[in-house]
Amino acid sequence: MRTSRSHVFLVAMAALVGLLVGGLVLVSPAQAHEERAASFPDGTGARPAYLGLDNPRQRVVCKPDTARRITQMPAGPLKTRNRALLRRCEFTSIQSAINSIERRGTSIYVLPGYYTERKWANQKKSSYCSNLRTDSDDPLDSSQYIGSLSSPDSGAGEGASEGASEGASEGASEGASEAADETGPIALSYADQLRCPQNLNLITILGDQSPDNGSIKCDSRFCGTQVVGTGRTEKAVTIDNQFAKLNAIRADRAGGVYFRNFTVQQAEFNALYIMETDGFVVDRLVARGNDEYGILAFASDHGLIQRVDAYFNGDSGIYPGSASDLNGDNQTFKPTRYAIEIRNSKSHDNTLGYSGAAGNSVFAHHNEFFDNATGIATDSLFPDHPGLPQDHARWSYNKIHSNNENYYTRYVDTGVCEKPIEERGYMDGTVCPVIPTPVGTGVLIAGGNFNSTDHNWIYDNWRYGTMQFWVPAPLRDEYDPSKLYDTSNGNRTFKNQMGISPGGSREHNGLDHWWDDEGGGNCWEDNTSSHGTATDNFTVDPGPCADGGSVFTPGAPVKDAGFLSCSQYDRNDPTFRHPPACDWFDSPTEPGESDPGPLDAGAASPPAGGVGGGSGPVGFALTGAGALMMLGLVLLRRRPAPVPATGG
Amino acid sequence: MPKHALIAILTLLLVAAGGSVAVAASEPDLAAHGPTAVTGTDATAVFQLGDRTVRQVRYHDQLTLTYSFALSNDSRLPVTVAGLAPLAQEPRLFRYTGITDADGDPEFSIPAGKRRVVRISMLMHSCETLSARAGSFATEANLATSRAGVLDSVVAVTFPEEVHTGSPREAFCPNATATSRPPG
Repeated sequence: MRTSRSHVFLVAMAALVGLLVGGLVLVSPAQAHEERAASFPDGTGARPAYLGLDNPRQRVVCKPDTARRITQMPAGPLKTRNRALLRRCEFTSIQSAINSIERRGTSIYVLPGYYTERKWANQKKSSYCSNLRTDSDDPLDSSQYIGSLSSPDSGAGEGASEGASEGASEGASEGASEAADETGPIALSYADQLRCPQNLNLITILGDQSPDNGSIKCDSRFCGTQVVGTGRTEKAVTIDNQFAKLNAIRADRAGGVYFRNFTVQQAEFNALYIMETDGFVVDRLVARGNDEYGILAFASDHGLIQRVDAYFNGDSGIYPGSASDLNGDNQTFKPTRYAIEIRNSKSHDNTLGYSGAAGNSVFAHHNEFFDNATGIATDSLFPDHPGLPQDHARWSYNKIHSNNENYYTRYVDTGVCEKPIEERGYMDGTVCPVIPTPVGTGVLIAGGNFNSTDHNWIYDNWRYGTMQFWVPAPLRDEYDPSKLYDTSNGNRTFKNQMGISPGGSREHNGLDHWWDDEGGGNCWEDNTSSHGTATDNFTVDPGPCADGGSVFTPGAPVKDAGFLSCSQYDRNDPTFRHPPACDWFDSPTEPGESDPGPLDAGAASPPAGGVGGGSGPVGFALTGAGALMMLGLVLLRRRPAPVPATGG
Repeated sequence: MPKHALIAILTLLLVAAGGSVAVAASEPDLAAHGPTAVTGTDATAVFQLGDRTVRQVRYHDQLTLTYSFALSNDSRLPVTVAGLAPLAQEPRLFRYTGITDADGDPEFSIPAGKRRVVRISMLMHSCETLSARAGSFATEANLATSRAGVLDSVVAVTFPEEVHTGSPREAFCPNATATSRPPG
């Protein structure tokens, strides 16, 4: 009997490992954003150190009014240093200064001023760069082709307050006129990024000078470049893309890059875009007023994002998407290490404060996510992100509160988001959501594994404090039946203050915890609630973390998280701005003192008695997989206590 | 004619007329059932999410998805299906192009109390108008029907599954441009 049970246990374990590991290892090389296929760095890089304001390898950038701005600085060492740097100023363009770099580890000191980089925004494209769609020497494979982008009309830069910038003297208007008639691929091979760095980016740091050698490592004079604003605050140096290019700043395979102390704004895609980079720091940046992301780090490792203030972004303020999947084959709760750390930052007044499609191995702590539609979201919802399904993020000691902003009704329904992008008022607080998310939610796990939500203050989120649900693998274009239930398992939510602010005041969440009852190994424990006991909609007891958490079920039939209906959201389509049966964009009401009850009316129904199955062979196959998964996890429930929570 | 015979005839006529009106006023009782099948895509799966049964299909621009299911006629009269009627709201990524029976006939009858396998064709299109992170459902069809050759009506039939597809990334959406589709 003992032998038999052990054998079954091993089979069940193998099934679980197959389900989870299989989904983690077989990574699609593509991704959902308009971008070339990305791959993870090899992880041999390191987080760079700040080289200060006296790095002998330096370039200094300034504007005609920089002297006046320095004069207005309070007396002190920083003012003195700025005066000294001003005497060495040789550039009025940041990109020009970067292009002049001769040695690694060079600091670009950007003195106080307003930088629109007109020279590069309006630069006339070469014949080659104008014809990448048809005549690229290194085209993306057809499977990677990502459509085309009408070249941004550089008229966005008209009326800029740059004054006597170099752009005005370099044929900018001629270039702009020509560019407006061109179209070109929106995703370029790295080689074409190297040849045409300004096709899609205002400022570019491309570190891999040998794209044909099979390595994505930084191997050029641009490795270790530091772009540093020298003002007293982040806003003393403003880099304003004015929607001239898709991205304001792109650091691509730029290991060792360091961005510090400036503001970057107004990009259709990203204000700061870090791609395939092993080793980077983003420190004291303001990223605001973008159609999609403030700071996006993609397929990168050894990253630190700290002291950032991100706001007015239509997707998320900070997006550590597809971070290196260091724990993809780690089937324990404790990660081996994190790829990206986010700390001491604020992200507010965005659709999402933090988002992480395939946001793997990210450690976000001591941040504040507030006044967004949703505070934190990680997911396995969208196909083609490297590293799916998502796993091993940790959110700890964050303040996640008051995420109740309904930009759908405020700006989408009112037609503001239909205006030309420059006229929507992004700098004045307009946010045009590009994705659907449940307004009023603190932390959202939409398909993810082994995530830790611990020691946070999660309060005043009027729908849910935390929300976790299963995302069926086929939705991310993964049709292997054995992977159907490969999310959401092994997540732990513990020792959080629910509905209680750091000052101790009671500011209820609508419901502390929402769960669709799906998945194995999930647990919620030791959370303190404004209601005394945390409110939830659970119809099964997930059990203590030490006992392995929840026993797998495929989810309660009465619980529909809403994401399928809401996935039809399209801000440009009047019908699908509010897809049928989607209630995510309904503003939740503020919970009162006597209203601690769950919002979910279906919570009282019993859990599913079995796995639903569709018609046809695939449906039956998936049903069988679900049943096997359930059997396996029932047996796994008897396993020894798992590895304790990190830092818990 | 005796008076009572005339009354009987009139009564019968009234009953017959009333019955005809009742039949005419009611819609055919058609319902969709499994088993289901699809062709026209190289990947599909069915799963249960809450109380919903979803059939996910991989999108292929400009290819036609054929969705098969059994259609029952629970009416008292045979029903002839003559085609599709417009939907109030077309799915974003599917355009219904026709319905046939299993033999491919675009007009077919279902005897009272019987079932027939039917196939609805849907053109997968317009991916360039929808974000790569968005999806689209086909959940029902309006069938143009007739009974006894004269009683025409449009019957809404809900599919046994919610057919869902995700808008593909631009790589597989030939006419996509960054400006033709919203971001996301």
